[in-house]
Amino acid sequence: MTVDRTVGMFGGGAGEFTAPAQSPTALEAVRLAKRYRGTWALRDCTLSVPAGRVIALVGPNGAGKSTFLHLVAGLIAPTRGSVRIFGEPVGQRAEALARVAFLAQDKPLYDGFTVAEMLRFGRHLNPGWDDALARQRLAELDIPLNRKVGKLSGGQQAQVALTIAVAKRPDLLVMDEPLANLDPVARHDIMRSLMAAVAETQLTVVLSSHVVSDLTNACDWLVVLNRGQVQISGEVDELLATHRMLSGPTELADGMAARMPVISDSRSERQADLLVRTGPGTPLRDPRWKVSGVSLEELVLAYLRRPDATALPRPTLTTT
Amino acid sequence: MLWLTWRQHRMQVLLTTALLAVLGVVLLISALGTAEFAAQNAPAPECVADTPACSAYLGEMNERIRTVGELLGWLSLLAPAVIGAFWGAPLLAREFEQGTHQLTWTQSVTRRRWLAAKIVGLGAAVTLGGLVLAGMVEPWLAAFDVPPYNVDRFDMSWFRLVGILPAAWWLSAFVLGMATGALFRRTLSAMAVTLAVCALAFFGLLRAPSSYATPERVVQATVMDDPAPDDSLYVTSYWIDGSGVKYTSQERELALAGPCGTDQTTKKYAKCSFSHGYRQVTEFHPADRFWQFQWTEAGILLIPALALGGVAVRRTLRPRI
Repeated sequence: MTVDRTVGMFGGGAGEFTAPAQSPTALEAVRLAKRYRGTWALRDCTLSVPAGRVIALVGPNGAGKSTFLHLVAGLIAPTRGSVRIFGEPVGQRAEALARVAFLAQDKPLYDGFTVAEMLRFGRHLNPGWDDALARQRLAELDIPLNRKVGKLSGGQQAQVALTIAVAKRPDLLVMDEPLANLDPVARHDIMRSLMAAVAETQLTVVLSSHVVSDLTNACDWLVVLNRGQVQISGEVDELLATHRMLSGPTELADGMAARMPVISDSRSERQADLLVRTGPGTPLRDPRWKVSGVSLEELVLAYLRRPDATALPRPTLTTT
Repeated sequence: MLWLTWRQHRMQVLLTTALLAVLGVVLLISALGTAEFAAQNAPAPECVADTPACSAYLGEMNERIRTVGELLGWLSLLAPAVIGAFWGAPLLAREFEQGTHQLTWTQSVTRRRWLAAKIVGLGAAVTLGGLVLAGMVEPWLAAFDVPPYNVDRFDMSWFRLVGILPAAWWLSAFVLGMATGALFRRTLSAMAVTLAVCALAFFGLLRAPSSYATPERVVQATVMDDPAPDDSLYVTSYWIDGSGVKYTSQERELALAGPCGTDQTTKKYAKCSFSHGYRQVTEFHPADRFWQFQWTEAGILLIPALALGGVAVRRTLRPRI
């Protein structure tokens, strides 16, 4: 995780990458594609995310989220393209595996094991295992170590799975729909534990969900995947700052739409509502238009309805 | 890794050990009882079956060995089938079924090492179990193998329970189960297929040892005792005439009914039959082919099983789904 590596990776005129130079790249996918029996689950997915972020991977069902995360975790191999984690290619090597922790969708655990045995499993299979951290987390959560995993509640099982992932001490934690099938209290608890773990260990986290509202408070980077392609990748604050809802007279809408990219456009006889992407430093001084901010949910929804519109870092890596 | 393998499969290991122990006790009791009986009642080693004392003794020994032997005969089928279904099939299938492969394969141990530990560890345990079984059946047979009683080591009831065959059967069934588990990814289907293939292999090979080599052929032109030694593997016997044409005994009876009469039990009939140019042919495998046959069958089992296992391992290691 040195600055050198970042510079090396993007040096040599690879493109004007605008990410801050002091933050190394945690996750980089280049033209990543995966085909299952003739159908492309993921097509030409290029993405670069700085370290230390909590990245929300959002998209409708079947958008390729799980496939993307499985590729990042090294569970499957890409049909084309490559994934790198902190500059190292993903794959079946012990060093590469040690850097990534993966929490699969159903949070699989060995049901017949006791919680203590699950910890022992983690200790035996991970040289960097932090047993004190694991025990402390479980003690705080009041999860008995001698209970069989299969006898725990869904929320507790999710906590055990998260504990094992965190105690592995990875640099990158990948979670596939960690909140699915959990009740609201468990969802809240899981997100809180996750945030505590992030604060303690400087993890980079990627988590997917098809429910945007689950992630709004926790995540500072948003990736939207739609139909196997990356539609949005950017810092949440920046995305919110550069998108505006403009409400004004319909007869002026065409003129406005010509001046900046319109993501969504709904017009009635008299009023038009345009969700636009404003460039930085281009304030709109027209009193006939009302300008308001957008929520992350509105933003994602607008993009998902317009698969051809993209919001990617300006400019992304040049493809060779 | 050793701990994980033990923790996940200790049930199978403990149950198999317990069943082997029970079998050991049964064999021990049978062997001790037989040894005692033999020590008290054995007639002279060279006794002839015709004398009542001798035939009663041989009959009792036969009764004793058959009682346990029939049970053992089924074990040659059941044990490998159970090993394949309960040791082999769940090994990968259960991981896929419950999604735990996603947990285990994303720890810091490579899939290759994980799989190697499981296959080598459990494969070694299964092989050891098979050898232990042979090591228990062997002395049990030895308790009977005291003259004048003679134990036929090719007997179907225990040919697959002595020497290296139990180990070969168990190991191939285990690899077969593992492979079907990797290919089907469903424990129940993998178990069913494993059981079916084990049964097919068992019944397919049941009488196959006779054909593992060209049998010895003895042609009799005079009246003599059975030319095949007691501990050999009998294949077949038939009659030929002077020009070498094969006859079944029925055809020969018809042909000889005129000159020699119909009472086949007398030596006179046999002499008459030989004097008319008939020769009796007996085919058998001598006892010293025992190990050759053991290794032949081990190869027949292990080569396809290991090839299939190799395919399954390659498919599992390739990051696919």
